[in-house]
Amino acid sequence: MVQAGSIRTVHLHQAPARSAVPRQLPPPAPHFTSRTGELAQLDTLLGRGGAMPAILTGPGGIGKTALALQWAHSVKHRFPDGQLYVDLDGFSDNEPVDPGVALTMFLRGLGVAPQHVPGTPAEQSALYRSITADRSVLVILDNARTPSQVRGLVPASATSAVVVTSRSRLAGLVPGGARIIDVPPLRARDSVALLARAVGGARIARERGGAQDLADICGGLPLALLVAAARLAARPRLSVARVAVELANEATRLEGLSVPEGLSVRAAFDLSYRTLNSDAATLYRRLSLHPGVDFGSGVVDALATAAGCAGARAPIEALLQASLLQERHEERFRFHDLVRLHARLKAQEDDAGDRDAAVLTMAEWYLAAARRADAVLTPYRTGPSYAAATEPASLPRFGGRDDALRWLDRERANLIAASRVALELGNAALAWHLSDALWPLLLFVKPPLRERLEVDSRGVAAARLWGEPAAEAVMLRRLSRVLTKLGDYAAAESHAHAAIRRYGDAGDPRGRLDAQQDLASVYRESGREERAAAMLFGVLAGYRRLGDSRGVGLTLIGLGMLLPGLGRAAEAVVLLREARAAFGDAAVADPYNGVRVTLGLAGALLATGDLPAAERAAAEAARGMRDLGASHEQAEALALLGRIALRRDDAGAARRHYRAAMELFAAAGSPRASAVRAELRLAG
Amino acid sequence: MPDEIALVIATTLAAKGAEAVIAGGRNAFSALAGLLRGHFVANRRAATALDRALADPRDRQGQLALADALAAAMAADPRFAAQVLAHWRTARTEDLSGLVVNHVSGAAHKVIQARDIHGDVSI
Repeated sequence: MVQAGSIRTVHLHQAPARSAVPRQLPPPAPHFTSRTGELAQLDTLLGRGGAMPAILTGPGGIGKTALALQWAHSVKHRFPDGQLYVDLDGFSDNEPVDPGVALTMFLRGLGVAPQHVPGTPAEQSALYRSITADRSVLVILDNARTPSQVRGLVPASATSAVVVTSRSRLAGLVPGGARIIDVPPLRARDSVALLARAVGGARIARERGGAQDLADICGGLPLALLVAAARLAARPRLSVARVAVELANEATRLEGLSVPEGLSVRAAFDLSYRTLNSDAATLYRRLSLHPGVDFGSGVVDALATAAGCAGARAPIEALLQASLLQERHEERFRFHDLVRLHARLKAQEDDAGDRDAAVLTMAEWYLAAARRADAVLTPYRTGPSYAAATEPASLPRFGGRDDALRWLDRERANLIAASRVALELGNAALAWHLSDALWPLLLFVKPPLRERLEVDSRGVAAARLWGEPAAEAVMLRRLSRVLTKLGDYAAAESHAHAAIRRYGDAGDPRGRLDAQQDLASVYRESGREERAAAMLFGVLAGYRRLGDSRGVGLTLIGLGMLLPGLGRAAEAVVLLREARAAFGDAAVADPYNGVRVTLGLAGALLATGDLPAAERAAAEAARGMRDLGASHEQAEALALLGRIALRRDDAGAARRHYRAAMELFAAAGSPRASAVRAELRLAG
Repeated sequence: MPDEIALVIATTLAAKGAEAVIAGGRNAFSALAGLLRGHFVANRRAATALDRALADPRDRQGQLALADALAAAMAADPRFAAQVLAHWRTARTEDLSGLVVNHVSGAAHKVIQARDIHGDVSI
């Protein structure tokens, strides 16, 4: 089982974040053609400033994203504070992106340290608005589905601009000042120009008639044109007229099958699909079942191996060449969603067992890869084993911590989606392990709380189905912590109680104490400090009985920080001195908690009125935290020094300390900055 | 949370239970179906949902209706909930020991979902 010690003891020390300049735009579409009218419209609308969104609307495959990116790349120099991009259609194919998740990603892009991204949507929104208030950023919201997804992501400054692409008109945004730009099909000559770009001007000029027919059949849809063009590009001797005829026949056939709309797109996909060799076709179908939207080459290799293909390289090249697959970043692939839908329809013709085996192969590959990252990041973690049914091939190798963490962060959405899919398949153990595999990420990168809520809730459900009380307890604890951060104390409390019961079922007394500590946190955060203190005294006694000196030390710190607020500062000083002795021995192994004791002691001493001792401790804590690179805690110590100075009637020193604290908080994007600013104002 | 649990049970039961019931087999999925049928005896809506889900493993709406009924019944009666979970685990173990993975039509329902989401798109 995951040991309690691993859950509560790790802290990440980061240098304070500098305000970052995000550069998140994907590259422009290589064969982008025409659209001068729409580009001019964007210039006119957004040139005036005011951050009122321009909404590019039109059916799938019409080229909205390409248009948005083309314009964005042409004007990005006008936005010196960077460009933010998010695909709101989702990182998995199941649900649209929660606006809070997108907002968190933007905040991080703007340089807010993960641990300083506030928990509630309202606070996140306030922080986003205050950060963007005096910045000039370009925001691209791709594939929005609802007005509410857009509203919270509009920056506050008049020198920023927002471009939204959407299949629906999002008319709900118009009263707020948004403007709609309809993206029509390409005109015939522009379609021919696009073909010329993709296939080669000379060939298209030679076969002007055929090209016009082809453009006509494709209905001005760039997606269909590009798939047809890819076929031509791959077969230099094939005549354009021949492809046009084939496509027309295919469209007629589909019409006969009463496939209603988008005949040209479907026909183009079908034709290209039929020209794929067996390996490429198999991979096309199987990859459409990939749990998340984009994927790297490792999982493709694993899938190809499992499907008996002779390698993945050639089939992937074939799919890219046929424009059935996109490579947005190096070795990072995705389907256009209409193509994926087509591939899934084709996959329905496969045996259901083959489909499930493909999904299992991918989900187990993600687990095996994540476990490799875990082994680098949290090697002390132990847990239940998982017996894989497949043999994951082509697993990543990690050079070090950063490498492993980057991989986990990049594959986060895929890991979450894989867990969901595993649970849908009834594979509860795999689903639990995939939820658990994200633990180092929760620890070090602090993903959005809403995302954690999803991951941990699924972890609980999976453990319950699996029938493992200890596994369930681990997830219940995580869930309780997330809910506490989100301010849902009633739910947090009930989950903490459930975790305590499950640890009891599992016969794990230490786990019970850890979960009781969580319960005490819920009490403390929800203003029931007396109850929290009573609980912690019980926990302390429990750890003493177990002879768990680390548990004793951490509980002493908790009590030492809590009791001064209850008018029991003298008691707190005694407990913290005991904690200091406890961590004194272990200071080499855990310097962070050693300094935390000193910080707590400074607060308690201030509350007892022993100002000289308080000042010495606070200064020592500030130095210690600075040396550890823990800027947030260093700022807390400085704020404490400000308070102590104020009590000594030394307003000058107080202002100096408060200012230093505020700067550190502000540099890290911490919401504590404004609270300290208020204290500074009081200091005069 | 119970909803996700109930949904998984409903989905896997619909996929496996239908085969089991048709085959007249005495495997754990048919035992689970039997447990539910017994519990739903005085609850016509729940019983109908069960029949519907078992009748067609591809009927996603039927599975959702069964999941709703099951979630309510499990929340109201913890002992029944424990029995359902125990039966389901046995069934899963039996199933996994026979095959790599069961034949839930996960992919089929994905296609449906994707279509629901892009209501204005068809290919």
